[in-house]
Amino acid sequence: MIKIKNLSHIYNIPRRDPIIALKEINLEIERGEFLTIIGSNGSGKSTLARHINGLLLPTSGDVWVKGMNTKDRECLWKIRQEVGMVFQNPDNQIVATTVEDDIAFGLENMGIDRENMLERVNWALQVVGLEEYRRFEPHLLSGGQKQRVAIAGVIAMHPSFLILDEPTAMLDPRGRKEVIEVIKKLNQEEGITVIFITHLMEEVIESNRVVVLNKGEIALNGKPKDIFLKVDALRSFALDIPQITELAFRLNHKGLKNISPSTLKVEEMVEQLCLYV
Amino acid sequence: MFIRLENVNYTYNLNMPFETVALNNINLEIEKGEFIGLIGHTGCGKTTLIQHLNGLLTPTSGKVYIEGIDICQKGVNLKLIRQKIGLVFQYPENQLFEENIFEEIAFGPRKLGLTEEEIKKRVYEVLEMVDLDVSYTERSPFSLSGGEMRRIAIASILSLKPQMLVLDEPTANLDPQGRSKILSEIKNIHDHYGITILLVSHNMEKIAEMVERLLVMNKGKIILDGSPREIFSRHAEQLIDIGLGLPQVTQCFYELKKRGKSIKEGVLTVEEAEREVLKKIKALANNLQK
Ligand SMILES: Nc1ncnc2c1ncn2[C@@H]1O[C@H](COP(=O)(O)OP(=O)(O)OP(=O)(O)O)[C@@H](O)[C@H]1O
Ligand SMILES: Nc1ncnc2c1ncn2[C@@H]1O[C@H](COP(=O)(O)OP(=O)(O)OP(=O)(O)O)[C@@H](O)[C@H]1O
Ligand SMILES: [Mg+2]
Ligand SMILES: [Mg+2]
Repeated sequence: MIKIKNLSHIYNIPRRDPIIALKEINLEIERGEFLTIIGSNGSGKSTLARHINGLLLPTSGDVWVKGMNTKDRECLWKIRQEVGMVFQNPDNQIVATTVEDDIAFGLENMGIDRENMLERVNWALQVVGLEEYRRFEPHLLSGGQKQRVAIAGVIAMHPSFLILDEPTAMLDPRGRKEVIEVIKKLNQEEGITVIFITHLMEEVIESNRVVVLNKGEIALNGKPKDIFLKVDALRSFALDIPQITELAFRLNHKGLKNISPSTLKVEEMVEQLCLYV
Repeated sequence: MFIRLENVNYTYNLNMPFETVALNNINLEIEKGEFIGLIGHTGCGKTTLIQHLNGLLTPTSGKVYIEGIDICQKGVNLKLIRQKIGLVFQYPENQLFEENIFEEIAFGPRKLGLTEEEIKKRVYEVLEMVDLDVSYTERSPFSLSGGEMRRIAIASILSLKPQMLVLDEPTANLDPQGRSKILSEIKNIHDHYGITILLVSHNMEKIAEMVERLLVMNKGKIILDGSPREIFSRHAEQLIDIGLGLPQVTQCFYELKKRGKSIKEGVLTVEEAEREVLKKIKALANNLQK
């Protein structure tokens, strides 16, 4: 469980007005959730994410991970093991010359013994579906595969929480799909709690819950299909709805009542349109 | 002809253990004023290709001509070419280096020898285009969020007013509104000033909406070159096969077609899809009445 209470974060910049990046955030993330955070550029998503693994500390308020306060220096090491992070650029996250060494890297730093390490690497490779690539040089992989290597390296440390900050931003459509599938699997089959940040509205639909940040505050919080009904609110936060949802919304307004305005997937749309055309 | 690439090959780490062939016999011609999209799977060579257009990379073999001049010859003024062809990097942090954002954006115009007055005007003008207010000018480019950094990287190339803009994944990390706003500004300068645009992107929806000509790369080669409508309809299967995709509405119509519905293929935007569905329903209703 993650508990965030009255969290504010201010960046102080020499000789300039301080920047209030987060304002009085209150949020609880339950075990097993797949939570997506969306919000405009500068709304505070990455700042919030960095508070959860203690990379940043609150200016005021508190963050607890499994009951451990991130301000408690003695817990920091433990918290970093509980909360894994994956970033945007696939190339920057790779450190070794083979896929398996890359995945083992974090474990070596943790001082895990050889046998245990092998077991964890095998498990992580299998979960992200890259067993056949274990001896490959990472630079020979596609972007989606590289991101899966990065994810494998993080989950090998057996975190309870996985935070992904725009992991699909640099990927082609197939790579994005691969990464989303792996995240879903980690969440549903391995029970890892996922906190996922994206600017692509069509990627939001796989999660159980969406938190919308606006100017450092939580503006909306709910299920994807309910959030995407709030078209005007989303647009006022510089966000939007997926293309297919927009089509559904428009057709519904034109009187096609069998087309639900909370249609989120292309397949759903195809089914509904078959009733008309 | 504005740009011509002739049998361009490029290999990273030539004759070394990590040798990678990134471009394989590229032939390409670009006219002044075109608005071109470039798509392809990750690692197919898009970034490598566009770095050849302003001499950041020189081909392992083959020729690159800009306005008829072979830019790989000795003595070519690459500085002048880089003023003509502005390139926005895929990873903005690799492009930013000044102490504050005003200086970052002013850097190019200053090199062009503009007056302080003109420089200031340009800085404010391009900040407006990327939707950032003037309060950003004093901040360090390295204390920004990902999307804000991207906006500055775009602004600092726009401020050069180049004849051609090459944008490598400019919309990655932009919020949806920023994506639309900045792309429509780019469309504007294309339409009003005849600026040539080359847009590299993994965002099929935006590519379909924006470009007049689409290039598709696969494993170091250009495999398709045509209008987005043609490519997204006639080559849908091939696109999916090489790891790309279709815009959501195009995908939807493609699936309907596969189910035997007689419906237009290669629909590219929401507006078009809406129109087509309504038209189809009307036609069906008319038939029923008869
Ligand atoms: N190191 C820093 N120093 C000063 N200000 C910062 C720093 N990092 C971020 N900020 C500011 O804090 C605010 C929130 O930034 P944050 O990176 O959390 O946004 P974000 O929602 O992740 O945005 P994006 O979608 O662009 O990644 C922004 O206004 C940003 O300019
Ligand atoms: N500096 C480099 N050294 C060695 N190999 C490189 C270098 N830069 C790119 N490559 C390799 O060259 C090939 C083409 O890379 P390039 O960056 O041009 O692809 P891209 O189409 O831009 O991919 P993406 O969509 O991920 O940006 C890839 O196999 C890549 O790994
Ligand atoms: Mg961010
Ligand atoms: Mg690239």
